[in-house]
Amino acid sequence: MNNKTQIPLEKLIDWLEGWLPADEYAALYKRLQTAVPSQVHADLAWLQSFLALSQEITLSEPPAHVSEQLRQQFQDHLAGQRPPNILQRVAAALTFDSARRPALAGVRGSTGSASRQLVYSADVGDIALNILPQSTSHRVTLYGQIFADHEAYPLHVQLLQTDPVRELALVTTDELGEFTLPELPVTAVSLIISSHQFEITLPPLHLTA
Amino acid sequence: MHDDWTLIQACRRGDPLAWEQIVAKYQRLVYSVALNLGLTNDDASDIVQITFGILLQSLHSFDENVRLGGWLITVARRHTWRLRQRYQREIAHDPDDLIEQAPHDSHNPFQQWDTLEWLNDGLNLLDPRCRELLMLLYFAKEPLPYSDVAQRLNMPVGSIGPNRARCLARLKQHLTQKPRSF
Repeated sequence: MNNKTQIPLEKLIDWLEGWLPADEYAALYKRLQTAVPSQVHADLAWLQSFLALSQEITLSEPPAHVSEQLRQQFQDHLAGQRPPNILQRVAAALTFDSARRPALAGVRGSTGSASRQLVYSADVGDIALNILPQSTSHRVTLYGQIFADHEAYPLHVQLLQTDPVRELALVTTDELGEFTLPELPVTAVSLIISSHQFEITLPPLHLTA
Repeated sequence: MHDDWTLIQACRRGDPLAWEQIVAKYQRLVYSVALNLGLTNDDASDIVQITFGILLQSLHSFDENVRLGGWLITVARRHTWRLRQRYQREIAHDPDDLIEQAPHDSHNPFQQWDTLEWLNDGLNLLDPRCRELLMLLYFAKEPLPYSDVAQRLNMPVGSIGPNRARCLARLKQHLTQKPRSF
């Protein structure tokens, strides 16, 4: 590497952040303009990206008392105590899947359409799902309704792809507990339904109709 | 610092030091998810407690392939979103006032959260003083003047510049070793 093009990172960041006096600023600018592509330019590009990122993102430690509360939360957990304000987490079990029904000769499916129906049951309510293939693309629409026993709607529905894990959708139901998620890829997912009182986790599901 | 799977196994055995390591590694990430989605410091603190509470209840559901940072972001986002919706309902005069997407969350969200996790991982590899310096200079909710940063870190104002460059060089080294770019 040409030593003439080597500029310390400190100088570069000072230059970018406007800490340099005008003459030094101009001199460094000239060097950067005339330098051949080098590590300096790579450093400069990295620093510019870093500074742009720092404008978009906040990253802070929580107050010290939060760490203390988390420590206590662990002790309570070990002692078998349920901390206050923790949501009840329940798992839902699949009770019906139209795709698993035996095909009976001459008997139409229950829906009479290409959609797949699933029903889940949990301690806090039932969930009905429908998976409908879209005719124009290799994607599906997932719509459904949550019948919660003791909960005011709306509820929140989060759909996660399982491999790799990433969020596909996060929506709120309407006042009847209904929701629709269009344009979903055909993939393995898990669904989590939450309210102020509970979180229902559905077993992994493959989004095929 | 141990890997996440080792820490989770130790937590299952009731090891409080393992729990503290998980908290130290990720509480900043969870808190920052809530802040970046527009919550106040107090509400973001609540989200930290809720999210880590759910983590405690979920310790037995993980396996060796666990990606704890991504999992915590997902849980924190869900509960931040729920809290925001509740606030919006309280102030909305018309149901149509409710918005479907959190505004800060609508711009290429997956990339944003991946970046936050990547950055947090890089900061975790710095010594505490470097980490605090860079967070105060570049990622604080409100930008701080050098004099305030110097006071907080008990450091002469004149040494902030050189230290900043040294810490940035280390962070750059850690981040460029990870499979992720800006």
